[in-house]
Amino acid sequence: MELTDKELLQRIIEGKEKAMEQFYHRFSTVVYRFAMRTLNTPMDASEIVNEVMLEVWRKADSYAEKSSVKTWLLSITHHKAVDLLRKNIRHQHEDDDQLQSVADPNCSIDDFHEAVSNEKYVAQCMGELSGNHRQVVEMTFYEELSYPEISDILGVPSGTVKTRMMHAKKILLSCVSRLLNWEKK
Amino acid sequence: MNNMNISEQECVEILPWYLNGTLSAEEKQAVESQLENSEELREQLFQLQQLRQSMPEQVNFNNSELGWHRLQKQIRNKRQTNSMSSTSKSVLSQSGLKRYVATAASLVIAVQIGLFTITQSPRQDDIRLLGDKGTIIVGHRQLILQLQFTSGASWQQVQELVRRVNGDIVQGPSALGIVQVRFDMDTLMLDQQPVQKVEELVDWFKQQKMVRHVAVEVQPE
Repeated sequence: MELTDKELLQRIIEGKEKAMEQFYHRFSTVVYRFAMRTLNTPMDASEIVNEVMLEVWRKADSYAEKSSVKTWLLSITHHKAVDLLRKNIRHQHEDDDQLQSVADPNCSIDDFHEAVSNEKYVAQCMGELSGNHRQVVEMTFYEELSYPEISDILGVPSGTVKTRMMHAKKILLSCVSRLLNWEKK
Repeated sequence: MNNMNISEQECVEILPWYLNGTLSAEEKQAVESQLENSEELREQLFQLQQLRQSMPEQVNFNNSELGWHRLQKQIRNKRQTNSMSSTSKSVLSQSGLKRYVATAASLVIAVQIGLFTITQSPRQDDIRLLGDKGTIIVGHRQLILQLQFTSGASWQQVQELVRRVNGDIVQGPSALGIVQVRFDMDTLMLDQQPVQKVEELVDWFKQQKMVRHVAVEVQPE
């Protein structure tokens, strides 16, 4: 029978390498994808996988069981990825900077439906989101995390998570309709 | 279950989490009740559903096998260091042995100084690429190659490939699946034939499907 995440952590605390191997294979992709969203560089994201897993091995007993193992793990990943990002670029986009460039959607409902169903547009517009906005969208729709979990991982209030999501949605809708209009001209 | 009163605006804010199924039962009920009465909210939900379906596919972590091997090495090194440090503490606590330990330590330092002249440290970049810090000892007739393996290669396959040409993995794998392999030119064999030139070996590695990139790190003298 497959061990639960918490059972695996318990065995890691006991120093069982096999449990660590299972944990690594279970979560390395989740950690990698999460780190990629912040860092956007495969090499840096792979380094983060290694660092996070090493920390799990050394400090598994710091898991306080207040949240799920995945939330705890992503919280470690978030901190390490942000540290690395700060080292790499020394500055981040501020939410407000990007909001200034957002115009209200200015096309019909049918156009909207056409635009948001277009994978090419959505992919391009996801790339236009700031790291903070994209992170919340991806944590919601890829990782299927709740907003309190996202709030825990990012260390920001729930209200901020909701606001970032609202802004992200507005930017995405505005962007896809702009692309559609541009292509129609 | 208590009925939760939330405004339409609050409903709009939590719609994404209604869609991913992570709202509490109370929140879910409140959203559903608002959805029944609001055309605009239904439209918002529809837009979100379409956005979600059109989101690009996620990237995969393909380096899982080599990544695990790298972590395993680090874990074992750490264990070894811990066990050595506790053993040495216990030995040192026996005061009669202290003098002998001091003599042995002096000898080790002397040997290290002697080896320094034939020792080459990896460049700073390589240390980062390989993830492991340290020094590789290189003899006069030895060659070091840096090999990057494809993401699908397992550690066992890497070892087997290197063993076929009498290589010795001295560092790696790194986060990108890079390993450094040392070869002794005097014992280097390729398909049971001695290898005369470094280029022959490099070409052979380039032909292997699991090898993505080959670079000569240290040339034999």
